[in-house]
Amino acid sequence: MKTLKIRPIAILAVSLLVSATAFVACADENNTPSGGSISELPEGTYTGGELGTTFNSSSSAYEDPAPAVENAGLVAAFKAGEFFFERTITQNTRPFNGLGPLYIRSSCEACHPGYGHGKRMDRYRADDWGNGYLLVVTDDQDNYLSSLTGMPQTKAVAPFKAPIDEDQIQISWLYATDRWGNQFPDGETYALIYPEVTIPEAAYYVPLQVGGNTIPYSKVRVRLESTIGVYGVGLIDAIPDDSLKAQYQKEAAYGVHLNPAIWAGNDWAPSALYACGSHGHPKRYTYALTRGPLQDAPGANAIWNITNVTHPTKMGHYMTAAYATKASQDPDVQALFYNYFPQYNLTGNVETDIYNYLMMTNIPDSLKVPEMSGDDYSNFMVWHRGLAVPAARNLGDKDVQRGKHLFSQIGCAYCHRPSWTTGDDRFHDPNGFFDEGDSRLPRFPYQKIWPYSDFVQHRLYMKNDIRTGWCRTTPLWGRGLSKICTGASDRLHDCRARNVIEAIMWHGYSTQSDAYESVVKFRNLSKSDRDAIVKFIDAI
Amino acid sequence: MKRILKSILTMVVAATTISLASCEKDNNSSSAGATGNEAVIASQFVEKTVKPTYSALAAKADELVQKLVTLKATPTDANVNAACEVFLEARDWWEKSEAFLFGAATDFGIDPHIDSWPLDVDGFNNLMASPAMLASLAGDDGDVYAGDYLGNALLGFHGIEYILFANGSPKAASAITADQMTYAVAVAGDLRNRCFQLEVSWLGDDAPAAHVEKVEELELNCTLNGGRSYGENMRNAGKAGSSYATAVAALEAIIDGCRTIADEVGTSKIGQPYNGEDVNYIESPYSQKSIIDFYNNIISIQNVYMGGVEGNRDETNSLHAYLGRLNSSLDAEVIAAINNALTKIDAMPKPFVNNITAAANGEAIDACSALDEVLGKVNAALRNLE
Repeated sequence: MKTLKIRPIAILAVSLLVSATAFVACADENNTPSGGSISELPEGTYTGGELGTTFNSSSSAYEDPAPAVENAGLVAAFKAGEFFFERTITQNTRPFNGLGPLYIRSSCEACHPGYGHGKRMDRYRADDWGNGYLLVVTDDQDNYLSSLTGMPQTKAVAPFKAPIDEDQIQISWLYATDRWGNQFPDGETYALIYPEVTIPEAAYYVPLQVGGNTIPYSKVRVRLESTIGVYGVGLIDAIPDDSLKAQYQKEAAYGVHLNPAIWAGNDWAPSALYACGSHGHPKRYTYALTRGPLQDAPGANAIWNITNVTHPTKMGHYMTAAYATKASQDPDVQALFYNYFPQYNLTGNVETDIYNYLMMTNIPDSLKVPEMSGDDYSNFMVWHRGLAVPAARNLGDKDVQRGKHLFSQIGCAYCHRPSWTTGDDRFHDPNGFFDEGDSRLPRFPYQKIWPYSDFVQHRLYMKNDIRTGWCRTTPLWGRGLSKICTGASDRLHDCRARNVIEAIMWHGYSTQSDAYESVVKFRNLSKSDRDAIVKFIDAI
Repeated sequence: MKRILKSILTMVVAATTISLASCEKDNNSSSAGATGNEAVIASQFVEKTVKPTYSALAAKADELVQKLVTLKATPTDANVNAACEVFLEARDWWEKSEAFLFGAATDFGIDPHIDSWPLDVDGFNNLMASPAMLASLAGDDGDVYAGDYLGNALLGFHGIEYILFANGSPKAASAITADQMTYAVAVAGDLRNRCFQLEVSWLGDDAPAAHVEKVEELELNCTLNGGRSYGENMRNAGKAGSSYATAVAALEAIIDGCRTIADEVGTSKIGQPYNGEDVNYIESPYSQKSIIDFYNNIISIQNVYMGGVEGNRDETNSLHAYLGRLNSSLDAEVIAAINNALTKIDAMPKPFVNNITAAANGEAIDACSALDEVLGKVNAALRNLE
């Protein structure tokens, strides 16, 4: 087992590089690392710190292994793990096998095109490349339907039927007008659009239930939430719990409204902590702040629940009892189940056998073989944890500098907090698969990072708002490269903003928005100042 | 590990050398050290490498559909062989495009759509047992149905390969059922549609009118936001509206594309089976043409670097000539690394699937690694000009 050690020769080589280039550096505003010493680069260039930044700015910029991965000799593991993110999963053809019985997508990259943000879509199809949407299906009180998985599946392998028939899903894009008529004082205009999603009752194969009780179709609501980029998650994981707590305390002291489910007066609310052994860690991932340590956060879970590929820490199926009941009683499924799954003919009662297969209950150990091996899962987590953040670009440009100054001055930086410093990154694994600070994974200790997020939830009160209204400030790092890396640059949780201006102006749609005052100030800036802020946001 | 250290140390040398040279340059242009020739090189890349490659690919994909339609109507061994020949020619052109997968191939998900592997064999068998789906595939819009409903693990080159080849050879016509041919024709139609999409995405109006019409009829995305083709976008590198802020950035992107495929061939395509001895990682298992695939991937890099596809190069405005002026010893290293990779891959014992752990494979991996590394030095040199 390799121990994490930055070999002295690597340190020597890096310092040779630094001193050599410092010696010959020219006075040039547009310094890049090969043209200037690290300390001469504008602050914020190393978005992921020295251990977590790549200077790649072309279409593979989101895909590089961090220097921490290289230093730890984990590049081969990184490349092996990357396969499981990029490839299309099959039912039983190795090595990317295990798809189904129900699934959300057949590959990870389909939702994370170019490893970045999902793309705005006019229709919901699981096989549309770049469709990063999850369907958020709730009742009119924001309670998830219990008969569907939290991330509903629209695909099934034979002989099963999908919980929702995606051909019937309708996405309409509607126009909104803000109190200013979508116009700046100087006359420049912008558009605001937002989605409405309808799924007819006939499209649901499962009964409509909340908490196990039937609800009328009229109470069902459907919204969309998109993926964001996957790079940099390892660095976010390395932010100390205490630093997050200090941020909440600071915001509370300023009178910022905080989600009582996360912050209770002057300490964490019980539901803020993600269980991990005998203790808990404050949640820091997803819009709804549902996940804590990275080792059991969206990636570790998605490698299982998006495709339903089992691995040593996740041996069940992503499934609901309501679906299992429905399918087990479906004569079409009963007629064919033993043809497709002969090895699950365990009792001779096909309804029982279907139910047990789907719910993975009463299954003999001989059938509990992980579809993805522990080694493959470990490699995948090396890749997941080890993705570098692209360096900021053009920070020395005078317009970008002006934009950076204004970004703070008008208050954007309160929620889009520019930087953090990571701790010792002796990470934990709620699944117990990895040890504390396990040397099989790359670590990012004591790095100054620039994600531009406070990792706290705020409310924008947009039209057809995100579920519950509370939304974690999405990190802004790397997004300026989205067009090159993914082919699109849609922003906000449902991809409603086609550009930075639209994203900013949605922040001011409602006077109740936590960002309203900042948007008012933004509106009153000159065009060149507004453009400077946009240029800054694209540079980080 | 050694490879990364070597690359750090060589970057020190390269950076030092290039930094000294670039100090004299004019500070007014955004690429302080640019010579002004970069936009021409980027343009030539589009005209002489990308366009001929995608045009040939689109034409061959179209021909493949015809050959499969003929085979379906008249199942003879001769017709199988004819289809196999065109299949392999189309595949050659695709593999020769893999040094520039950035742009449409990635943005529109065309690469995973036409080149996912391995095939989902269980999914295929389920499909063959589904009369309703087969009827849809057999219809006039079978290609559209396939593209919309089969999923990437049942589409593209490897689905067709599964029908036409076994154990490295064309199948006997008698070994292919009518339903399998229905599938093959529909999947080939979808493959053709996507190759048209690639072609039109880069060529824009220069693509054959019939191809443009087809792509419009299918409502397939062919432009960057703002309505430009990928070719136009790259030709306008450094000008307003282009996604490339400078022409040098366009050259970096081109080199990065070459690096990506060099690394993938060495580390993944050869490396994963070789190091893990796992035959399931091998890409073209039915036709057993993996080594030709690898070779063509490196030819792709050579075409990009030398200013055009084999037989139609204009070296004057190639990256080779450009780097020759900037740093002739680095240029010589690149040429040597490309030739070395080609030689070492050619020396791999065929077929790959029966010789996974041969020592020659390890040498080919090292050669690809070295090529990736030297291309990294080229990008470091280019970055210094910015």
